[in-house]
Amino acid sequence: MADEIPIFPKAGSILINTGSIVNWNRLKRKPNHTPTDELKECISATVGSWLNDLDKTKAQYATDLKCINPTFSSNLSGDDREQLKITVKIFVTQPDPLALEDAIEKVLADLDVTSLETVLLSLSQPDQKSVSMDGIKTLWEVLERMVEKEKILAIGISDLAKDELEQLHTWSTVKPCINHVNLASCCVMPPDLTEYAKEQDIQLLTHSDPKGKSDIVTVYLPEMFPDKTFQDVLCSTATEKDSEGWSVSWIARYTALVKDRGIIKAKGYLVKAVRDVKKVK
Amino acid sequence: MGLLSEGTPLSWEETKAKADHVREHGITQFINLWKRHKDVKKDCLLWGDEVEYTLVHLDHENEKSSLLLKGDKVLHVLQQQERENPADLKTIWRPEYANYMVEGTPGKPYGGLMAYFNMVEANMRRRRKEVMRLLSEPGETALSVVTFPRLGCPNFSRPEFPPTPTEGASRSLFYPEEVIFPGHPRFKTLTRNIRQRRGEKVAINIPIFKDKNTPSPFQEDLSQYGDSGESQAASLPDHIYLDAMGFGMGCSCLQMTFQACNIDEARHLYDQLAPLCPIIMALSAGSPIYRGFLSDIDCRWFVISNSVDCRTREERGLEPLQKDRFRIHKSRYDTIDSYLGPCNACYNDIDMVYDRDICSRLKAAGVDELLARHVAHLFIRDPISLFSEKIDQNDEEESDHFENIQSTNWQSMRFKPPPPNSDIGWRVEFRPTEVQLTDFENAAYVVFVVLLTRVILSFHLNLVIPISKVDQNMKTAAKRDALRQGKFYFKKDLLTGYSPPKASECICNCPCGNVDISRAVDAEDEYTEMTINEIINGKVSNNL
Repeated sequence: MADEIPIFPKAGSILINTGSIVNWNRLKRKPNHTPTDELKECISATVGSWLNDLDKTKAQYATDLKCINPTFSSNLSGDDREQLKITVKIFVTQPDPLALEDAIEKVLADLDVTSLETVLLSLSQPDQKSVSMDGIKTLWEVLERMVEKEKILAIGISDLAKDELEQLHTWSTVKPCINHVNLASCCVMPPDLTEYAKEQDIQLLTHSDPKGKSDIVTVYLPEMFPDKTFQDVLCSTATEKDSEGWSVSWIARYTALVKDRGIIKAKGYLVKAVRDVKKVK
Repeated sequence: MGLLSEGTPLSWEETKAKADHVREHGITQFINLWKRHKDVKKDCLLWGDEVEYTLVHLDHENEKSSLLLKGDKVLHVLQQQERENPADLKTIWRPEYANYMVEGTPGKPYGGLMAYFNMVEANMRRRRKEVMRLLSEPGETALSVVTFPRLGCPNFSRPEFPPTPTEGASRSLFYPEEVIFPGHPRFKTLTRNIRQRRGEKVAINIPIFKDKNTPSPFQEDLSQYGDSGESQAASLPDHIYLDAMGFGMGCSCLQMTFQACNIDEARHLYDQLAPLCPIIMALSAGSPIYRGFLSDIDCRWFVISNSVDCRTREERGLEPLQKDRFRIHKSRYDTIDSYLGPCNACYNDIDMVYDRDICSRLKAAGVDELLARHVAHLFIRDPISLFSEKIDQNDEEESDHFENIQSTNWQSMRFKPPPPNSDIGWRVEFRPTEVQLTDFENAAYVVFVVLLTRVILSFHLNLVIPISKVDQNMKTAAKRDALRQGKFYFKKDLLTGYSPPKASECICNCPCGNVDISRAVDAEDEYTEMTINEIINGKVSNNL
């Protein structure tokens, strides 16, 4: 496998767009299908089908790759846009404001909409002992600017304990409307958190996305999508050389719900990864 | 709770004489409703649940419990808020068959946002509290339990009344007249009319659980209850014998109704939920004890089915057809006989009895074959209660005759057209769930079923299997310990996009009426037997 000729040796950035996975028959619904497994399968399928149609000659020189699955378009513009509630959760591992802004703009472009109802931020820094409030604040400012520009209606945060949530709430201009909490880390919600959330009108919603560390209770959970996992997927769909050096910049997961009917119209992922090609042999 | 028309009930003979009239106008009313609403689109999701409560008296000193016949009194107070302040109701209360029962629903339907799922348990708790507040005498309480284990045993009620085997609506050896809800004539009328139409008392024989000391064969001497011999002849050895509508309709269940976005989605959801009826029933099983005996069943379904079986001996196939028009295979309370979606026509593999003339009439009015047959099947039944004030109707604006037949076909699913003069759309009712003891459990079942409909629609799942297999599943589901030991036919692959070659011959784009539904498909490859555990939690498969 190490001797295989790489397909895209010059690629330094890759944007993967799964399209709406709601209609995917391929996704065998295994029991206990974690969000990480789902994402793995989606990326694998998208890259796989993209490679099939790829012009292999051009690919040798391509620096920015865009893997998209055109059959599963997630265009949400149209007459019934106002019936939709679009929620996007963005996972980042670094407090890089440009990456976050890039993520939001890419989602807006992909869905062909001018605004998103809710954006949830998840900052997971596995190497850090505790959550970096400075990091969150840097990113929060990006979200607040987006709200000002009416590109996002409401913004929320993930996995904050009561003290951190209070800090964010007090400091921010646009207040968090949601704290997205990991179900596994708290069988019972801490009462101080629920009380505070009630006082400040913050919705406590649960999720089963893994993250590096939960601050509600000290529980170490696997990360949503470690770089190694991403590289392994590329390795098995492309070649080993093609998989080297990649680091995930951001993951965006969107869900479009038909408000009045409670039905999921579209659900998909966008993933951006980068690498320094010069460092890869 | 069914149609609660006001007024004066007719005798059975008078009701029977008006049967054709009710059917004819009932069909006209259906056609009018259908024409008016068939093209309505994008109704939003609205849904609700119904919980039935049993009023009980617990005498701790003497270690006795009895059914509290206070439904009418309690309801009178519960319904006060509806009379005085109908605009802001949080809960709605209705009577049920027995005077120890009350039925509560949320005041307003829930909507399409996920947040509504969080409100179900709270509203159920509120309902229970409202009832409990009115039970202030010592020992009085309300339970949400499927059956009261000693219903029909001597002195099971409070106050106590003797059964009257030779007079009254039931003529039961065990079930006194006074237990039937007295506040509305409907329930006694139904009881009497079903018995008179049938030509004999209803007979329910439940297999008894053979415990260590149970005699073999098990056979009660019914003369001790005043039987002249009629009941003894109708009872079976090794069975618990019951002889009244009250034993069935006095059971409590949990029901969910939801509005679809248009008629096609309603038909689609009706079909998708039908295979789930036996599964949910087995999961929720809660009624193993009847008239004080341990039975070999865990669910109420076939008890109720037999308790309202108004079929004559001719209809049941015990005598050749002379006076009656049809040989009918099922009681008017039982599982559905056909799917409604054109794509599922080929899974309608049981012989469904329907009125050919009514079917033609509906088709002439533009109704497609499948829906026409469904309605024509409901309308093989006679009305079993009729009120003098409601005989002549304006078929454009009233639908009591349609509702009369519709609401006395008690099936596992109910397809409900919009009522006249309202904003309400096409709805589907899911009816097999056994009620649970706690609000938490009841809310869990309600939310699960409604969420499941959202998942089915979002991910385009297909659960449909031949309807004969669904019927077999229902029989399996009622048995003792079906939850752990039963094997149920279930679709192997829920994801659409797979259809066997034979099925595709009669599949066409929904909705349309041009299907060859005379041929049922043998879809053996599509389904297999699974346990409830495998259906809910999945089968561990080796091929990914």
